[in-house]
Amino acid sequence: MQSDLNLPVDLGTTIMALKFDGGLLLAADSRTSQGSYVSNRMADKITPLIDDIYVCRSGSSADTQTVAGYARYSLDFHSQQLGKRPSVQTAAYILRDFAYQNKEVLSVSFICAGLDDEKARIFSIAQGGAIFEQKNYAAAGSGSTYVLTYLDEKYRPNMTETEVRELAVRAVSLAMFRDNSSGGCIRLCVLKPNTKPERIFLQGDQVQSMFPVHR
Amino acid sequence: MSGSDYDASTSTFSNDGRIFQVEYAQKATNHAGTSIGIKCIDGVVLACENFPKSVLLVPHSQSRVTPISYSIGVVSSGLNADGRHVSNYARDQANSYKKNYHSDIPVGLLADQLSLYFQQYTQFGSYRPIGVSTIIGGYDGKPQLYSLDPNAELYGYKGVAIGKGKTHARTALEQLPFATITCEQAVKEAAKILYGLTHEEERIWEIEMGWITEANNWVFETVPAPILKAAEDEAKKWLEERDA
Amino acid sequence: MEVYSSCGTVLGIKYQNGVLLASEKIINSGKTARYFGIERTKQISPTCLITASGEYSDFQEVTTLLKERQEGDFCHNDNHSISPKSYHSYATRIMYQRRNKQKPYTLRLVVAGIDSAKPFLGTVDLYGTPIVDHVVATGIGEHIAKPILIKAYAENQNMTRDQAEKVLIDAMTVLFLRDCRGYPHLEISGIEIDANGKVQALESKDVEINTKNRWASPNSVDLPI
Repeated sequence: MQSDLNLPVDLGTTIMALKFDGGLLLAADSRTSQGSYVSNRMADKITPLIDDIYVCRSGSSADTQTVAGYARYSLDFHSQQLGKRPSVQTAAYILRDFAYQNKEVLSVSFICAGLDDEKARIFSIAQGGAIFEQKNYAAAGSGSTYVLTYLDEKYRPNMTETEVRELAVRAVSLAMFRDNSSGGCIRLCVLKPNTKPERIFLQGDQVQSMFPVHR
Repeated sequence: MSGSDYDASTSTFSNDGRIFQVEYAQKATNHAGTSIGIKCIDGVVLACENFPKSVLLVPHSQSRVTPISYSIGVVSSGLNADGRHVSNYARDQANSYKKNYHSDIPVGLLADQLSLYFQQYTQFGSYRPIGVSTIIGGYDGKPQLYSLDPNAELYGYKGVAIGKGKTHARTALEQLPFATITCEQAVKEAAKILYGLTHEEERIWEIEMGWITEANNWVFETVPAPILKAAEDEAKKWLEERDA
Repeated sequence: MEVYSSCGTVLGIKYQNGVLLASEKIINSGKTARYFGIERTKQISPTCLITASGEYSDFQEVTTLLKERQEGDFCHNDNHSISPKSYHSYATRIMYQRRNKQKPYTLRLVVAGIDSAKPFLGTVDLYGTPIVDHVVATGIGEHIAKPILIKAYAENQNMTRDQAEKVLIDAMTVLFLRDCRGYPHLEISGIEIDANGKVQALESKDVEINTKNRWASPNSVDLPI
């Protein structure tokens, strides 16, 4: 029998980004697996690209790290050239170009989000390199399949920060409950204009207590 | 006139620290048809005077005011062929920026890249300096105007003139109300400035203008013929009154 | 080669002074409805529209290539831009080049526009096969909707825009009922030439499919026993 440890390291994942009134919230689980083996139970899938532009990664761990690293380098160079922070759209397109041009060999999908002049913007980059700007929220990764309908139902435009935070935590925990590739802790990142990005961390036991196991 | 032995190449300084080839290139632009750029509150106007080489040429068939992208245009004074080479290079730069970053190149960045390109031609022995001065006008969130000389010096301007009439034209430009001027007004002013330059009797010359305006969604276009004609008529009248 | 983000059927039909296109405003990954409200008819020149079914990332790439071509044309500043027929031919070359690299764009492209004051409608498939026709249907629509379009066009070759729109919506309704990846929200776009010879792209319009009276009554369901 082949050992799980020989399988590729995968970010079977739940990631999402949601807009709220006056900002943006990113959420992700923290499980990285090889087959059934959890090779990292504290992974950070919300990666800063430049200043307050973030990307949520899903797909192959190695591939997404490489692409995100390339995008960081590219954006750093570009910001020197521009003399200011590049736009979220530019950041997203750098990811998409890399994902698209190397689609034969890469297994990546991203949610790239940030604020441009106080306006929240979310871009989904699908496996294969299709890019979509999302009006309100985006979810990706294996776990997203289980909670997209939940988000469709519960999300309303102009929710408050607290409401959106509760919704995201609820959605990610539900995905972690059903999707065996998602698990561990929940990481959040809150982006608001003229405020430092706020990283929030929910312990695995807290997440576990939210599972609807007794129903 | 001659730089005595040091004027044949850009690879050697003269005894008093000059590179004569670069200065000669500047002379080439100083003898060429005048070009003007005016930054307005609602856009940028680029204008120039052309001297068709023959009466047999179709009017307005040689153009110096050219678009680089939807929102950027340039006009060059000097060797026309060098000017076309420069605008071609600028188009490549603007296009590759768009390919890489999926947004329009900031005008200042394009001007900067052009200036680096010009500089190369002042440094290497096998090159001759580029024989044009170039005005770069465009929009990248706000109207922008730059001017670049063969020595690769680049400056941003509210209003600028290059070519043989530049001294006179710059003096005239200094009188313009840049805080309030609109493109429509700038077209008239540019026509006046160009008509105000001394032109040899009997020599055919024509005005060419392009602009990037809010009214045209910040897309470059040649100034529509009726507007240009009206501006020229007004300038002619103004000239007659002045000379009367 | 694999299709990850797929867009479904496009329908197109010529009418007396223009071309009309209809597409579903959705992108699927496999059979999961994933991205909603996506408009995939793009105007690439004053006289030409393109749209496609197939892999959406490839469509975005081809759109970028064609728009780049258009901006290059714009820079000649001679008030001339290449016609839909030429774009169709150019798109054919792009598609055929890629199939020769064994890396085809997994697309069925539709090019629509006004060429020499007449409506033009053409498609290119992933092998680079060009087809020019009066009606167009791609994907599963080629089997289900195209016969409807052909019939409608044969009956009236000089439709008004409203008639053409009705034909497209009717065909899309059948598709919505018979295509798993169908979606009731459509984008109707088009381009037409007016009496003064002015070519103008129509503002794209949202249409929701109405399936009222299209469902059999429960009593008529045959029980198999």
